[in-house]
Amino acid sequence: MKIQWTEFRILTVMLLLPLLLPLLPACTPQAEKPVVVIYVSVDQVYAEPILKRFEEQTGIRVLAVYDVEASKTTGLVNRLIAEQGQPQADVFWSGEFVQTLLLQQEGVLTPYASPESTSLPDHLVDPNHYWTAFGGRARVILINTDRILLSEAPRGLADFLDPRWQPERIGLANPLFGTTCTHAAALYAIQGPAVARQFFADLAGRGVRILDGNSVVRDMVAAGQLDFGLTDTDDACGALANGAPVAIIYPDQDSTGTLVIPNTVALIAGGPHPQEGRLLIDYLLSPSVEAALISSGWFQIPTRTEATAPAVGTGCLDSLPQRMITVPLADIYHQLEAAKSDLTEIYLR
Amino acid sequence: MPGQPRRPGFQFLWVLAAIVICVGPVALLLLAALRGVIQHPDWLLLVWPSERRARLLWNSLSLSGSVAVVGMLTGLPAGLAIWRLPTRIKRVLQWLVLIFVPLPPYIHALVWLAAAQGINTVLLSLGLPPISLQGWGGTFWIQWMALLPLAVGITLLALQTVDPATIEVGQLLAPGFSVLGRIVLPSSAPLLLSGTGFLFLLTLIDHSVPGLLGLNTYALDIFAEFSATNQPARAFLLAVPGLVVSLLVLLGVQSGIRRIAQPGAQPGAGSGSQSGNWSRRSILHFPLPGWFLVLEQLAVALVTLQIIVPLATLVGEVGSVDRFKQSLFAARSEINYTLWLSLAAALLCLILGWLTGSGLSQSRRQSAVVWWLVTLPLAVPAPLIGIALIMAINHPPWSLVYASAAMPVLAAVSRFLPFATILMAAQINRTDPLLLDAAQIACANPIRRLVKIQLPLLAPGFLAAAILIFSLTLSELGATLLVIPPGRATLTLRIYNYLHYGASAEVAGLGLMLVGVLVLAFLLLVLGYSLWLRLRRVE
Repeated sequence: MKIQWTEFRILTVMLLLPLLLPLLPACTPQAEKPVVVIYVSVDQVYAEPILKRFEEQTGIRVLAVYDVEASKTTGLVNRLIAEQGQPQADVFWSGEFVQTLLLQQEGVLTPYASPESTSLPDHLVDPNHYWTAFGGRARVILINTDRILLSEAPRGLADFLDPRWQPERIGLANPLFGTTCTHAAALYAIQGPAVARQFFADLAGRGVRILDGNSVVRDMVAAGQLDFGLTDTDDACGALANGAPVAIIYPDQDSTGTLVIPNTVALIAGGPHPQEGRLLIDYLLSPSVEAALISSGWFQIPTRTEATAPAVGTGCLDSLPQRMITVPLADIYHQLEAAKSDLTEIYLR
Repeated sequence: MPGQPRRPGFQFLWVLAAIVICVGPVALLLLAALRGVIQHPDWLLLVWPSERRARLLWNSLSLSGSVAVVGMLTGLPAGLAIWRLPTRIKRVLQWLVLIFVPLPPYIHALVWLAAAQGINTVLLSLGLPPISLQGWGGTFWIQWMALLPLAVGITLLALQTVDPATIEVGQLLAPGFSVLGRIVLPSSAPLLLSGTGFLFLLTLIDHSVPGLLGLNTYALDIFAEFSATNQPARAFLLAVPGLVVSLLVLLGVQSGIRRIAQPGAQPGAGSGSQSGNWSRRSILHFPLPGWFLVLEQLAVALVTLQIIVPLATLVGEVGSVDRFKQSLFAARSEINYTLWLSLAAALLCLILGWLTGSGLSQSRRQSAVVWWLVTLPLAVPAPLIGIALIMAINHPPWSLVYASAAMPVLAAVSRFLPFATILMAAQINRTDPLLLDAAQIACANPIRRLVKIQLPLLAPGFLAAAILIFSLTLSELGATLLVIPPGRATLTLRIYNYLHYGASAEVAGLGLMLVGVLVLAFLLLVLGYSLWLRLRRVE
């Protein structure tokens, strides 16, 4: 079928119409309202109300892009790196710290010392103010109480290797991705690479189940398909809130302590709205937001003492971990590459 | 056109545009990879799979090959059964089969896992061993079920390319199964083989279902590498063995595509018998042996299962109408944006696919290379396409485009234009060229000619391509996440967000909505087409 010159022109117009339609929103004036763009690696269901409140309080319109767990951390962080020449985002808010430190190393971030960071513990604030950490989710063992008595429940990561537990009824998320990967890097930092590597090799050798994400661990423990598994407190609390027969155990309270993974927030270098970005960072680091995020169930471990009350009052946690892993965040980050390399060899076979 | 000089070559511009859209992102990745190799020569080792990666590649290839072959072997009898039904029932059924095409494979997996849990409760109560959907077997089953609607759709499309006149002749000479074996299958074989290739590629680049079910695949290794290093160039280099396999498959696919897309390359082409044969279905009642009818019934039963299980599970998870309404209300802006985005992508793909397919179907001289280039994006993981688009467009003077809602449309077009091109090339080829040439002479007004003659003749291909692109865009995630403008979200992104939150009722509600959106689009398209046909008859 040959297309003639006139038809060619008609078709070109037809082609341009749908192409131009999507551009219209970009051309529509937004009534001079100030804007801030934030990339969020925190579940939308928790982050969105916080950002809406910021809009109401400041009149600054927040344009957010939310990451999804299924992207296996190849989503927004890679977008930020790829956009480095011409950044679109002003602020990055992450549910953990490893990716933020990576962005710092890649030169994506710019320093900002928020006045709100003065009330935070020193180890949660980057010495050069490239990022600030706040709040936290603990890595916990979630047990199914229909299958395990609380008095006989596992107390630490070493129990994952205990022969009294059937390996096919124990699970953790794929340690190549997400907070389980961060946890692995933390073990590398605390125990040394050789010991940590052996631990994961033994887990694989035993046949402990490797699942697609912490939420899958939560669902399988809640459904009784697993006796227990390693997950985050936000997932664990979600199962409790849904009335599942589960209980939360802080691991290794008598040895290395429980890993708490804080949220991080950072200003993007060369972002289009730096002033609004700084205001948003101040807001996110405020004690009221920390309390709100604890109340909503996004994180459970407060970084300020005044936020403790709602943490233990939500009905999820009876108490906070007595002993936490205190290795500097940067040390954990520096173990990440070695941990990922080893874990790829162990688990992706 | 009389009195107007022909300007040969301009159609080549559309082919070129399609090649740029399809190959551009891959070329940028290739350049980045070359730069990376120059700076870090050891990166070249990534191209050669180690022992561990060779095993993963084998996992991927065995899974993809099995899903593709078994998928088409099931889709073929099911499609044949639907094809031979009376036209009205056939029209309804063929759309019904396709409604779960846009449901992402990951949601299919969750649905089947939930169903398996229910079945296991019953099995255990009866003292029987439970079924497991973990590992290779479970992944195979879910990918098979997820791609079965597409296999049936491809079969129906392939059967449309069979010349009814040859069936009529065949029935006179050797009625019964010989018609199927000697005429129908050989005539539709090119598209059936191409379809098998597409199913293979779609399975090969998916990491979500194998990841969920504990099967390590090469795609997961690429993601692990990308996640560990954040270097798209390294991920691309690692993807090379998979790309090589994909390209070999694409080469096989192209022979089929070119065969249907070039005039005179299929039985009956150019004979004038292909036009308007949608209503000529009485000829399809040829007798088939009993064993084949049983096979057909089994395949139809599987397709029915594939529809009922997701639908029942999703409806069951939603629980109540009020909860569904709540989900609907909460996601209204995502629904609007997704609808608009999918429509825009479908429109763009249709027009570009038409122009490109038309250019490619004109000459036998079109080399395999052009087809290879146009179909290349089918073999590239979606996040890499997204990264490449950022590399290409996030610069002045394209900044306005990059910051606009058009980016996810471009991502969808980059990923799915090959499908539209193939479908339109097939449609153009099975349309009688004499009718089109006559239209050029008889109708001087180009708009009238376009609306009154060309579009009606190409309508089946347009409908098929529109629905396929619309469906695929609805469920796109990997590239969309990387280019979606701030402040926007698609329905699929929202579903994946809720997946982590663990709100299964909301996920089910949104999954149903995704299906509902597609059904609505189907109905609007088919009703619009029927109305248009009626108006034309009245005229």
